[in-house]
Amino acid sequence: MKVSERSKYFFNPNLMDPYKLNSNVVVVKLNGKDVFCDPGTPFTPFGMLTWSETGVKGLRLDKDGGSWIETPIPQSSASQIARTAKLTLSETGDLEGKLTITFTGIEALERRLQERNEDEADRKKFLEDEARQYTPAAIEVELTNKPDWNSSASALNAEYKLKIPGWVAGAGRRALLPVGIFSATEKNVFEHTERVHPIYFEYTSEKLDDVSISLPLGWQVSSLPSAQDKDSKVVRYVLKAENDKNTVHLNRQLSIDLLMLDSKYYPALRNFFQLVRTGDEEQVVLQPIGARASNQ
Amino acid sequence: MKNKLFCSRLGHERAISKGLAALLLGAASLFAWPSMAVAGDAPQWMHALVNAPLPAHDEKTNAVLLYSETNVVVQSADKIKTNERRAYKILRPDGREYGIAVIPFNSPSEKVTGLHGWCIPAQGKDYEVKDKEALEISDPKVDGSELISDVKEKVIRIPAADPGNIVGYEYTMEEQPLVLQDMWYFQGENPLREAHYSLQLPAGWEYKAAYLNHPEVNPVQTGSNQWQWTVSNEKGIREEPDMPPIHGVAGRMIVYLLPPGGVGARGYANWKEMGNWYGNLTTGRRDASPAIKQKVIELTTGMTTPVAKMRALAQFVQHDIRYVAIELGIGGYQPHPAADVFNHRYGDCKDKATLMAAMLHEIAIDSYYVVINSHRGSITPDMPANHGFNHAILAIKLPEGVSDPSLVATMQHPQLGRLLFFDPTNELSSFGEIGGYLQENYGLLVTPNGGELVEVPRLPLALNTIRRTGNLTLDANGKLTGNISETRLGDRAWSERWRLLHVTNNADRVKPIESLLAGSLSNFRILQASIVNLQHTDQPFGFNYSFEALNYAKNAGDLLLVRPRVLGVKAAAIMETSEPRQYPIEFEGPVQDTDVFQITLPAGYTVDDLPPPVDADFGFASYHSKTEVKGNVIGYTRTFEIKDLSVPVSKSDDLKKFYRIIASDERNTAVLKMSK
Repeated sequence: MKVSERSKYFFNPNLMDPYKLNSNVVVVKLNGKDVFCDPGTPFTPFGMLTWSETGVKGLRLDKDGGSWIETPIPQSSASQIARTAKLTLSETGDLEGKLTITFTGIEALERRLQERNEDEADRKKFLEDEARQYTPAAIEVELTNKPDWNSSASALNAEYKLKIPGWVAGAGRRALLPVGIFSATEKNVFEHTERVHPIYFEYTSEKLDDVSISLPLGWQVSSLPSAQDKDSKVVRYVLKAENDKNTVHLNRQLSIDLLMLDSKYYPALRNFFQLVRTGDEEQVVLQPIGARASNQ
Repeated sequence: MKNKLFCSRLGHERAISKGLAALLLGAASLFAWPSMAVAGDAPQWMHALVNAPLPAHDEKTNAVLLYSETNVVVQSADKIKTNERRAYKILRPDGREYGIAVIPFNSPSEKVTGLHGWCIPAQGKDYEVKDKEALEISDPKVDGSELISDVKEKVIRIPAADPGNIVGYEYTMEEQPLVLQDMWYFQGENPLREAHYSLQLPAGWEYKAAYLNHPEVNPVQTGSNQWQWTVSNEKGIREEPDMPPIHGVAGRMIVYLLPPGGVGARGYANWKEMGNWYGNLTTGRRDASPAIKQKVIELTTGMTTPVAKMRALAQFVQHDIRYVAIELGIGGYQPHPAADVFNHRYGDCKDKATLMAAMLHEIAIDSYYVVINSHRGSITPDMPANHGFNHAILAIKLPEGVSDPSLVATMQHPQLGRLLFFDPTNELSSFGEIGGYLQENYGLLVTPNGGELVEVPRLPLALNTIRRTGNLTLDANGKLTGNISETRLGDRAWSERWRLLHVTNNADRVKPIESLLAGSLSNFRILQASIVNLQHTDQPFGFNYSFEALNYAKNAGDLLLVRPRVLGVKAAAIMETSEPRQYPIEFEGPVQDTDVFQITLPAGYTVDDLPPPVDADFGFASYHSKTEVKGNVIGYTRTFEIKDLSVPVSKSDDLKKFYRIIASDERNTAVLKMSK
């Protein structure tokens, strides 16, 4: 099947310009269903396409010449950045522990392609920088595993030793723990009120955070932010904070299930991301055990 | 700073130009490389390197310079022939850029011949690229650089430039020198194993060698009027954020060429002589034409004080003379005549300085060129004379009795009296002040008595400032509303004016404020905004705006959590790296920023907990913040100061600590409690 990559063109068959059919994908009939594959791009798993080949019109060649069909758009859950952290809070307000980031689908493929011709030192720096850009504070991070860069099938797993100095701030008798530990990439998006051009997401994707934080001895949770679920169908933000035996559990989900949005919907999208940022700024209130729980 | 300050020609390092190599590597398909290289034996000097031990390096080193050889033969004052050889071992994928050899030269005074490149792969046969396969290109236009210059590049692409392989090249440069001087660039970004420089002079000639950022190297006499220098195992200079410019840290040797009877107007061997050389180049260039004289009368008529007159002339040269650099041949150093600059209404930095000097002369005020580098640290006081400059400004001799307090960029010269530094290229700076890039910078003051390296003064901190005050009100739902008034001086004003210079519609004018708010507020709406003194560069620039921020304070049970530091981010992440710092940290200029926010609390709430005050003073910079309650108002004040423009490596941990303290304070929260 000849397709036109939307990284370069928004293809219109009526223009009859064969040069814009610049890429090839293979359609496999499997149990009566079409499965789209890209064997020409390294690391592309069976049944997956690169982002620029998804959601595009293409000419499926057959003995009668061919017919126009459209390649599928995967759901956001097919391309995830899942961040799992098991951290301990120190008396001085530092968070320290293990972070695992798992990239799946297009998120894994894109990174493998980007680092395809690089060496181990560069790939290590690349993944450490990736972790740095997620956190809205200075961090100390070191990659501790050797991710499988050459696989076509599996997720890309990166494991780190992580320290976030001074993440928890003191406020008199209390301490405040911000919940948006991996929220930096959403911090400055869509900051301007006016928008002229449509908003173009290259592919659908999802960020999933699962963070557990053990509190230091003698401290307890005084107050947790209320759970949030902002579901606008094509974008969704979920935040949940729980306390279990002096361990704070934070779950965050940000799903983007859209590719192109007309600028007239920009205010709604901007408003959604403002709500995301507001949620990410919520704080868990901690206080010493035995202190009077003034907010109960 | 992306501006039009970079004028004069720098010495061109005859080596691979990293930026251009990367550009060519990325856009290789755009350049029709004439033909593919063929198998061919690399020369013996390269094969001798195959088993050579590598210089010390780490796993992040892209390539090492195994061998460099520069043979300079001075045939006469008008002809110098240089043969150059270089060979790199590529260690990492990013080292592939060394497979593109880029030889800069000035046309027509320089000519590159015999360019050959080779690759010795770790396995298999050698490759060779010949001169006929080289491309000759003009420099790509860089924003803020010359409109027209005669700097060209000869480029070859060496095949198989892959990790493990050795690439090398050789060429000959024939030049008709503009200045009788040569520079040996032996230290660069890659660790160096071995470099040789040889000099052959005609009978009766002499030389003087001096060093930048490196101890003296003793030469060996290898023949009659022939010497050779060797350096080995030099460390590579890896780029760090906010480090000093490369000219201020890399080891280099300057060779002053001294013909019999003296160097005359063709060169110099010390700063004083360099001033004479530049003085000769500019002789007659500052003569005012009748049209200039007429314009000066027109601009200054009715003005009674020298300061008012100088200000009027400065305004004219800053705003009515467009920055356009046409630098051909000696024009890289020599300004155009003032009359031409005035007639055409354009010129580069030295042209603008020339016209300004000519106009000042018409109101009986003397001025002197100051040749400088717009990157502080390129020229240091202990350096021997060299042409590491890229910019020209003026030192204006202030008439006796002039004591206007706005003229702050001054120095007291023992012979010339009080001098005011002025940069006519910077169209947005106030007359009397200079940008941070010039402060504590060293420039060559060119006087009739020769040249003299002088330190341009540092201005008081309070002249480069953002003073932000806010009166805000918080409601019980966490919504914050109020007004902010922001006054900016110095570079803090200059940068905003530059950003808004060509912006005409209101939606775009408000964007800097939106960006500022977005850096600190998650959910906000600007209710009103205005800009103060955008065009009036002699007045403080300002933003006034009001906004509302929903959910600014967060509910936690019967508590309300509010961050007293409403706006502005002073923390920085430049020191957040696991690599030990190698070079000092350079700030753009001195800074003194203050924030004062008054937040009126919602009815029924009192303060239960406040963040502690912060007092951090590390000498080179300080940060003080305080949160207080008076009645139902939380008051937050802070002062951020950059006092030294350079932080030595020994204090880099302090700087890291400093920024972490600020980041922590910026996150601090006050806890409000519902009154019983």
